[in-house]
Formats: sequence, C-alpha cells, structure tokens
Amino acid sequence: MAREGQPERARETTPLRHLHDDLGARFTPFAGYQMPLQFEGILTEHNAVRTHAGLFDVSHMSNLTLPPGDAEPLADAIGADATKLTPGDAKYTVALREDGTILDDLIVFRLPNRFHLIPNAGMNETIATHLTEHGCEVEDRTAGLCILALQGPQAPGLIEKVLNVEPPQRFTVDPLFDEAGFISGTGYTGEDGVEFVLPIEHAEETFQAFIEAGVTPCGLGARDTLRLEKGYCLAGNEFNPPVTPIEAKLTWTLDLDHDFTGRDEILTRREAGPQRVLTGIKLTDEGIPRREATVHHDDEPVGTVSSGTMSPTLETGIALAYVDPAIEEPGTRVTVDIRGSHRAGTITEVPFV
Amino acid sequence: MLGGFNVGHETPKKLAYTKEHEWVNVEDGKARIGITDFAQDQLTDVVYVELPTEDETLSQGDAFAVLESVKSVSDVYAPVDGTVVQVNHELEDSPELINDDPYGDGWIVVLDMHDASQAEDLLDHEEYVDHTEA
Repeated sequence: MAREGQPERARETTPLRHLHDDLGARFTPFAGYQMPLQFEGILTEHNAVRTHAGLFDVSHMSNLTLPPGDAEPLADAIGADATKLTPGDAKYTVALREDGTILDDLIVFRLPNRFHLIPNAGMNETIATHLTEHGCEVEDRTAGLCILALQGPQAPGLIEKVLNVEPPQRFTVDPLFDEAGFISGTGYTGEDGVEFVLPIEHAEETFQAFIEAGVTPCGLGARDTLRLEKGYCLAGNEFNPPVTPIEAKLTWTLDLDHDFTGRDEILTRREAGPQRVLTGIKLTDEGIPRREATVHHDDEPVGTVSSGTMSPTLETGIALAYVDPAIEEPGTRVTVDIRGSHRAGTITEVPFV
Repeated sequence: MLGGFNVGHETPKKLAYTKEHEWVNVEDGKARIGITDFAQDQLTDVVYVELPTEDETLSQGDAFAVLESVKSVSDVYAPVDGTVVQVNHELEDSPELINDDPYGDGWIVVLDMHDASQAEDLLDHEEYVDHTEA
C-alpha cells in the first residue's frame, strides 16, 4: 500500500498542541503549520458538527489589526467598504490584485477600538504588505492569538451554558474577556456557531471548558468535508491558480459602489463574462472526485475539479469545479475522470447539503 | 506513508508482511491478503474501495485494489504472483471493515499462488514491526 503525494514540512504548530496531544490528535502539515487532522475520526467529527457540536482549533489562520482611523485605506485594499462598518459588524470579503484576481479571502471585524482581519493561514505577511501599500498601519498579531471555532446546532446553548454570554447574531462580533478577545457569529461549516479570537491562555481555558462540556474535538479533515458540503471556497484550492470573484461566484462579497484595488477590472470582466465558473458536481456513479480531475460533457473536456471528497452526509462523491459557463445549468449531465474511468454526475447548485 | 509509529497496533505473529503494509496469510498455496492495522490507522476512515475481479492474473508488485479515505487514495500491491480466486465484495458496501477488522472481515482478496517459494521472501512479524518503527 502506498499513499500519493509527498509530505510537506511544517515550521509552526498551534499553541494548543499539548491539549490536542492529550486528546490523541493526529497532525497534518497545512500551510506551514502542524495542525490536527483528526481526533477520533473524520466521519465521527463531521457528523458531530452536523448533529451536535464540534470544536476546531484554527490558530493557523492569520490575525491582523488596524487602528479604527484606517477605514479609508482599508476600504481601498479590500472588496468590502470598511467605511460603512460600525462596531459589532463582521463581513466576509476578498482582497484583489490589480488584475482583479483574488489575493485572499478574509473576514473583517469592526471592533470598538480597531479593525481585525482574519486572512488565511500563511497569508499574514502577504496581506500585511498589501494593506501597508494602501497606507494602512498594520499590526501582525498572528503569533500571539488563537482562533477556535465552535460549530453545530448545539453551539448557541453551549455558549450560554459554558461562558454565560449571549451568542452573537450571524456576522456580528462581541468583545470577550474584558476585550482581551472576541466572539463572532461566523464559521466554515454552514451550521450555527461562533468563532473565538483569544490570547493563548484564554484559548486554553475556553478549549478545555467546551471539551469538558462534551463537545467533540474536530480536526482539519472534518473542516474540509463540512465546508465542501456547503460549497465554501478553500483558498489554496479554489483560488489556485488565480481566479476572479466572478469566476469563483464571490462578487456578492464586493461593495462595487466604492473604489478599491481590482474593482475596474471586475467591472470590465463582468461585462465580458467569465470563461469558466465555479460550480458544484454531484456524482451519480460511485467514486470520489479529486482535485485536478477533468470534467467532461458530451465527451469534450469542459472543466477541472478544484476540490472533491466523499460527502459524509450524502454518502456520494461531490466536487467543486471550474467549468465552461455553457454547461453550468443545474442538472446538466457531466462525467469526472477518476483514474481514467469516466464517472457520471450532474451539475448541482451548492450547498450540496 | 506519512509519519507515525507502530505503537498500539496489532501485528499478528502468524502472518507474513510487505514493506508496503499488506499482510499475507499463506495456506495450501493460497494467499489471503489485506492491509495491516498500522496501515488502516494511517489511512484513516476508508470510505470507498475499488476491487479486482475474480480470475484476474496478478504479478508481484501490481496495484490490484484502491482504498480511498476521505483525504487520500492508496493502492494495494500484490505481494506475490497469483490468480484472484476470491474477492471480498462485502467491502463495497462496508469499506469500514478495513478499519474495524483489518485481519478478519477486512480481508481484500485470495490469490492462487503461481510460485509458492515467493512466500519465503515476505517479512515476518518481527521484520515488519522493525520496518514500521524505522
């Protein structure tokens, strides 16, 4: 038996590694970090989040802060109009290159005393440079902060019970622990839930408190199957090689009535129409579509899979793929090349679940 | 394989092994084949299998089955030359048997061996444990 692909080396790990070791985690390198891949098992963890609650350590994600006076240069640098955000707001958006392609996706939080951005793992320096070039005064706080995600239908009740705070509404943010950290109504699983940004000591206590309350610890394996069932983009997959928000169907994350880097290009390209678009594919045959598999329609290649997995909920193969817009109508029959065998599927609107 | 040590995994003494983490049980010129407890644990939850067909002829080293976990795809190689005489079709509906009972209900195929002497070149229990701890 042999596994495909070479293991990559990882420089960093999460400050909570000792807690994960105690829980029997298996680690995987991801974007330069050793992070938990799984604890008990990906399927168990996936189902815990869909039916109860799961807790993720995603401290590999980046943390950048900006003074509240930087709303205008920040608005120039990202797709969201930061000048319209008021304290308590959280917004998912993208930062674009001059050519209109996505540099990264991120969430911007407007806290009482600052803007806080969470770009992807390993993107702190790239985004800090991008923001600095737009005139922002950026502090990189990635190394000193942890990010936890509590996700699942039982999450709101657990937050009240364990922390004695009211869970925030979707895409709002509240300070926590005397403003040492914050709690936001955000997540990457499509379930109810929150994310916490906390100094390391608070993160250790909070992680342990939820585990003691019976929450299932979850790794990046389940995080990936959960996000894929909802059709959410993963930067390293869906934005690599570079794509525009039009192709990735993320124009809804842009405030096009304000000026920002890449905006003119988006308006031009929107007029011209994309040459490929991101869509869901659900297999009707057996098999698991994997990244870089070719998609065919009427025996012609029409696209490429950017992410694929076995959906634990549907128990069928699902994929996100960039395809020719001519065949993106839901219900269109396609095949996916899995090790030389063409497996039948249909174009399916996301979320799959 | 990704890193990991063969600690807390079962490795029965009576079986033969390969460096690629297959186990082989040779009886009367027939070789029953599966993957080891160590291998199934490294692979994580198996969710899909592709199996050979009966009567297929295999040479030592041929990839004859595919095991897919949520995250990865792994080939299973023929430890010896032989003709496939039995296939564990239970795995098609219950791939988790590979994880739950790797040396029992999680067996993959039985080969009718072409050259019984090839069994002597396989690793014994001790050599396999050393290999996984290296």
